[in-house]
Amino acid sequence: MTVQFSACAGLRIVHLDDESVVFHPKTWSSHLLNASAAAVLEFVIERSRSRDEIETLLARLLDPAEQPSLLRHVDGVIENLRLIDLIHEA
Amino acid sequence: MIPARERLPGHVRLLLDALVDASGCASLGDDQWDVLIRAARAARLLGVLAARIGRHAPLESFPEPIGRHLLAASKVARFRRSKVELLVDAVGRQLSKLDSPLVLLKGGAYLAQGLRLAEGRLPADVDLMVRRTSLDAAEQTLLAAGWEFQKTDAYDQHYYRAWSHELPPMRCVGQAMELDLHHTILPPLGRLKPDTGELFAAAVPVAATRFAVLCPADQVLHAAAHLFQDSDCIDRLRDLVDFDGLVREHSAADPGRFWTALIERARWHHLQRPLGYALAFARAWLDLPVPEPATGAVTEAHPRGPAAWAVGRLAGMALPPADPDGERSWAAKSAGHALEFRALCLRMPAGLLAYHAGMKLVRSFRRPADTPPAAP
Amino acid sequence: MKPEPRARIGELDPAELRGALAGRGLVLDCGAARIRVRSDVAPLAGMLQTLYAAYPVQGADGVFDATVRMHRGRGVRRVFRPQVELLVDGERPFEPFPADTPVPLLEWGINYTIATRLNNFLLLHAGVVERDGRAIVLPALPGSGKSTLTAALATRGFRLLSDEFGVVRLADSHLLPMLRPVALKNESIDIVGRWAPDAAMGPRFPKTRKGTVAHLAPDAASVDRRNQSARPAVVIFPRFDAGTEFELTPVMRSRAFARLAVNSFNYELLGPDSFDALTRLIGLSDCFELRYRSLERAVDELGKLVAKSDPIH
Repeated sequence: MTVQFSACAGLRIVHLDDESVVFHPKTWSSHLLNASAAAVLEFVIERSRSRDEIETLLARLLDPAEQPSLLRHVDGVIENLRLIDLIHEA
Repeated sequence: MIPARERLPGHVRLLLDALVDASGCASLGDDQWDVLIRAARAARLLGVLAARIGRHAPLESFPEPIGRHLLAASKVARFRRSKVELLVDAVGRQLSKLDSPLVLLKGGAYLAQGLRLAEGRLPADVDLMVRRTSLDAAEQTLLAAGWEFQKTDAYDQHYYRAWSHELPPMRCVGQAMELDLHHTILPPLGRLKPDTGELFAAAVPVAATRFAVLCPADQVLHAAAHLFQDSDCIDRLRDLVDFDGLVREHSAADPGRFWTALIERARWHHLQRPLGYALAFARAWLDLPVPEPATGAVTEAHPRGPAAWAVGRLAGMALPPADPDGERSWAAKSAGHALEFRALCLRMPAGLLAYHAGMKLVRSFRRPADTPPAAP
Repeated sequence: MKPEPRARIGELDPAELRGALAGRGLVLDCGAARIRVRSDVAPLAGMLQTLYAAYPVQGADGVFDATVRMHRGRGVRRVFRPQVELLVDGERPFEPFPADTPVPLLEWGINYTIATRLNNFLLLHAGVVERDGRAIVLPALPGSGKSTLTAALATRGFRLLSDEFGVVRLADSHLLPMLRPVALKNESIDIVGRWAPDAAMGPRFPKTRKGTVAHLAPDAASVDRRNQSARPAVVIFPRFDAGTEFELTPVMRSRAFARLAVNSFNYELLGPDSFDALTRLIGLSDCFELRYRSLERAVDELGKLVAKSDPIH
């Protein structure tokens, strides 16, 4: 059974230019997310996702020139979102 | 012994009247609102007052600046509430495997239980009681989870652990509130020894959480003891308001059963005296109704004698907030000091008391006094 | 509730003002808040009459946002290195100041009280000016020269809302005036003095913790509009830079949001309300970083910027 990530309920997201700001209803903290982090978060809010699904999303979004480092990028984005309690393992 | 409500200073009377009947505020004149708001703020009761007023009319319907005073106070209370909930949530997970009930006390409990009296309160910390035998394990688990003791010296640590009913306060990165870990509700070497085992045995689980709270009677007794046994009463009107609110809410469903349990458990825990004081003040100042069948037992619990008279007078002076246009009177300050001394005496045996007082004196020379924030 | 203003504070007979101050109190109507001041410190009356000259005279009975009292130090501190002390509703949250700096203590004390009490609004730490119904928010960072720039704008056709508080109404993110004398420090005092030689300035206080401090009195036009809100239009992060004549660089709105949030008195306290109010404010605004050494050029360009900013994005 692959690990699924889901988003904390009740997050408020507002798009400002290319980035997003997020409000966490339990911790009352606000966060600034760059474009890829915001895209992953909204993807996970839609429904729970596996790491592979998130990797596929990022591959579509990112510049082809950045592909080699994509692997690191996926884990980094997931971990950063997890550390600030925006997503967690379902 | 207790000053009658009509004999209290104007700002205190206004505040008590408003707490007892918030709907009456609609007919207050501007000058009265001015005194009321400032007195409530001084007593840390502005949020509670706003909550009570808000049940009769929306806060936005009051003319400015009254409306914004009340609204601002309720926003602050809401913030504090969210911070308590955050802490309780984290600690519930961190201590989920502890071999002990996790009994929330005071404000943390009132919020977890969804009591109406919790609305508008301004908690500053969260009190949690665990079995003494699990205290070390709880401490280790919390330390491993990132909690830290406030910087205290060896004397403070020793004082807390050996003589007190609680560990020194703990803080954690990401948590705005302090956590106070208790193993009973009153200082263990003190004169009054509630039956801690009974407190745990009768504790009521909070649905869908790892936590429990004291049973209604014990919760009321704790509130009374906290105020009249363990504090100096200065500016502690809000604790009396809590006590009054608890009795009202817990007695609402089945008054007969509640009052019987309260009187019986007061006897069992040897907490009749503080209960007696709390009931006397709540009846006199907050119109706490005591039903007929219980009045006999309540009168029996009513403290008597010169000591009781003194506590009544001293607490009567110390409890209410100072006049916002003046400063606390010398007499009221002395009353507070006298009660602080009394609480200290009740907290520890005479020999230890002398040692503790001596240590405090020595340390006050060694450490610079705390000063309020300096000007920028 | 409020009596109709009979006169401005500057028009009062000094003895009458002293009497009010020593009695029921002198009212400072700053717009979003009204403060009642009581004091028997004699030199204070004249200083307040200068700084609050344009403010309306109002009765000291009723409900206020705060009542502050300033009195002389007690006991030996009355005579030996005399002090003045500030009480806010009976509490003493501040250290006393030397008796020759009553205004800095009063101003700082009132600001502190507003910042901790007015939690029905989102309070940004920023200067705010307005022209043609559009507000410029100038977040306050050390070394930004925010007060100098705010004072310069306020004396060249911009309405002054505040130099310290960006008071944001939660319902619609409009800015509300919190009109206070503009606190200027050290060189800034002379710069503004040369910039606006006719503007009313209060006395200089040479030995404060921040150096020499003086205050610019708000003008009558700004005072008269203290209850008028302004729609946010521009957010400017100013930085005085002797090496740059004038440079305006767009700032990503997400970054401006973050910088405003951390530069606020009560952003965290208001939780979801402040998140909503600030995202709305940013959504309505163009955000820039400004580096400048020419005050003339900065004021001129900002005027054009506000005139041009389109409220519909």
